[in-house]
Amino acid sequence: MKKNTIIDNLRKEIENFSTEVKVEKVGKVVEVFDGIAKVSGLFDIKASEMVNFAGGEVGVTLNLEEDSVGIIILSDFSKIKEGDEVRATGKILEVPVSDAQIGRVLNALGEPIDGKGAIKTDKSYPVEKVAPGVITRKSVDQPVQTGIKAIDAIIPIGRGQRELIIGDRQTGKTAIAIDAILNQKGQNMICVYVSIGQKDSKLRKLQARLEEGGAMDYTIIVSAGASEPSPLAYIAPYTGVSIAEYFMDQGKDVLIIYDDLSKHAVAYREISLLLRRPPGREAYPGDVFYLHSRLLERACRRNADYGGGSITALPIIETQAGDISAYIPTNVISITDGQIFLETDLFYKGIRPAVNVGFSVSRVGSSAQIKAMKKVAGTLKLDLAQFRELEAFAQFGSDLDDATKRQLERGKRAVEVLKQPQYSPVIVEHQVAVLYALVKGYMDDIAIDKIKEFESGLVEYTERAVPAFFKEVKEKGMYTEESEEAFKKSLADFKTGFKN
Amino acid sequence: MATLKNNDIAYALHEATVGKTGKELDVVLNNAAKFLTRHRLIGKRLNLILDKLHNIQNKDAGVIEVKISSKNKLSHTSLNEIESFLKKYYRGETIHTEEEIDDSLIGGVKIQIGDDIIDLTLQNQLEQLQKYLLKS
Repeated sequence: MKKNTIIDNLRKEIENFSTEVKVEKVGKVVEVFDGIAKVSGLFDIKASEMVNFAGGEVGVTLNLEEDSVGIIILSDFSKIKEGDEVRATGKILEVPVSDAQIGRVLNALGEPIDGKGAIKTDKSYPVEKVAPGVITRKSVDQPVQTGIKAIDAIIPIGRGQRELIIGDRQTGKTAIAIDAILNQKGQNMICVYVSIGQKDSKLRKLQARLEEGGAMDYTIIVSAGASEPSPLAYIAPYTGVSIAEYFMDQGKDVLIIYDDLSKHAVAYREISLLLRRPPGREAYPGDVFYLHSRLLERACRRNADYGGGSITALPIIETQAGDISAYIPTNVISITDGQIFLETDLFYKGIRPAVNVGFSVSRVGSSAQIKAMKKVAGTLKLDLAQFRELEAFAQFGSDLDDATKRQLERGKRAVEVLKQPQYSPVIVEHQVAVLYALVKGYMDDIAIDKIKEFESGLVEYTERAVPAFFKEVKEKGMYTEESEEAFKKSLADFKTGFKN
Repeated sequence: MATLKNNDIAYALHEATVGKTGKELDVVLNNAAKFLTRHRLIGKRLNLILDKLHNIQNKDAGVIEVKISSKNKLSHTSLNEIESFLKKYYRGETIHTEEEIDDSLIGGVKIQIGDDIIDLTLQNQLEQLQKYLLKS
């Protein structure tokens, strides 16, 4: 571009410009500490209103007191000093939303932090919004296929459901979430992964993993890292769900993962204590339940009149020494529509994903399960529960009757079938075939250490011998009687050829 | 016991003192001082209460307190213009103007009325231009 053209263009732009004169509400910083500012004046300010500090820093009002306002600072607060001017903007905190955010890593304010350049947006959504009302909703009736056999068969998740993933540290909570994202390829789903208070290295690894699996084509990552101030960790999940709502409003299905809400509660506790709000149980403020309920209530399935989109939420909670009766875990368990409980003992026994089937439940998902899965997995949960009971009992003696022995053997094989390595989601039609073989007893005489081999061989064989079975399950959600017969025959054929 | 709010105390003081003079006022003020001491309100909160009382009295009397900052001293005509605009905008009867010469300004004026600021400085206009150019 020539020098003159630049000047001409600038001149043209400046000619169109006119300054705006307006009355602004201004307060003064009285004190500032740990990401919090107390500001005098600003008497007409609203709750959750954005304010601008003299150096361009952004803040949000959280405490409206008689003589001052408590503000959480969402940027670097080290340059703010006593006596600085604070300008009210008249706007409730908003984040930019756009289709171009897909595949990007954003901070808690919706700005890109992955170094891939600015995102052009012309729309923004408020961070705090009232959850959709009953009239706009529809009951959950479509499944989210996580690709994890233990979940899709026993604790199914539906689109619009809130299913908690709970467990101690290092039990594979994030792994389940990542597998679920990886399996959404081609499932018509947008994924939002909200990382709260995690190390940047962990996030980077996760991003690389998603890129490798081609999952970043439909995923947005919102991050408030461990090194960032707690106000950002507090805002991040709301930012994530606002972006999710933008896609839901277009009639799309969205899967949002909050990793994790324990750290979110801790960040909110920090802010509340700094704002001198009275502490309650475990020093959390009185409204910590509302903190999570208003967030998770925004997950929903809309009916056709309101666009038909959905937000499925998978919040994660980290427990201490398996204590699910602590304050935050019980709160979130009561808010969500079920939980997937992961156990350290199972994890170290080699049962991975370490899902404790007895403590895990899905309160609405079963109505969203496809027919074929419902048919084959119907008795699986009960079988497993009985197996656990018998297993403990059988340790005392070896004189067991045949029925009990059979049940024990079946249980052992069920546990083996439900084991699954990380990053290897299984598509639903393959799950149906394997579980069919299990519950109909085709695996009863296969050695335990050969189960995995049998499983993969069976899928391969069926793919060649009865492709119609897979096709029907995939397209119609159920197999016909003819294809079931054909599958049974191929199953028997495969078994005779299988070297035990 | 419910907490005493600064605003309520200031209103009560205003109500009690308005229209009173001489001995009558002395008695009221004496009682007010006793009340404030009894409730331990003499100290940091007293300034806040008195500020509020001052604002209430101004509002009642239709007085607007304005602080005008500029680089150079303003001419009488400009001052009169600003004052007459403010009288209309804030529906006040009298205006108490405090002028301030601020060397940090490049040009223009900054008008402050309580919490409100009308920023007509050159710096603010340049900032707005910067934002506009970055946007377009």
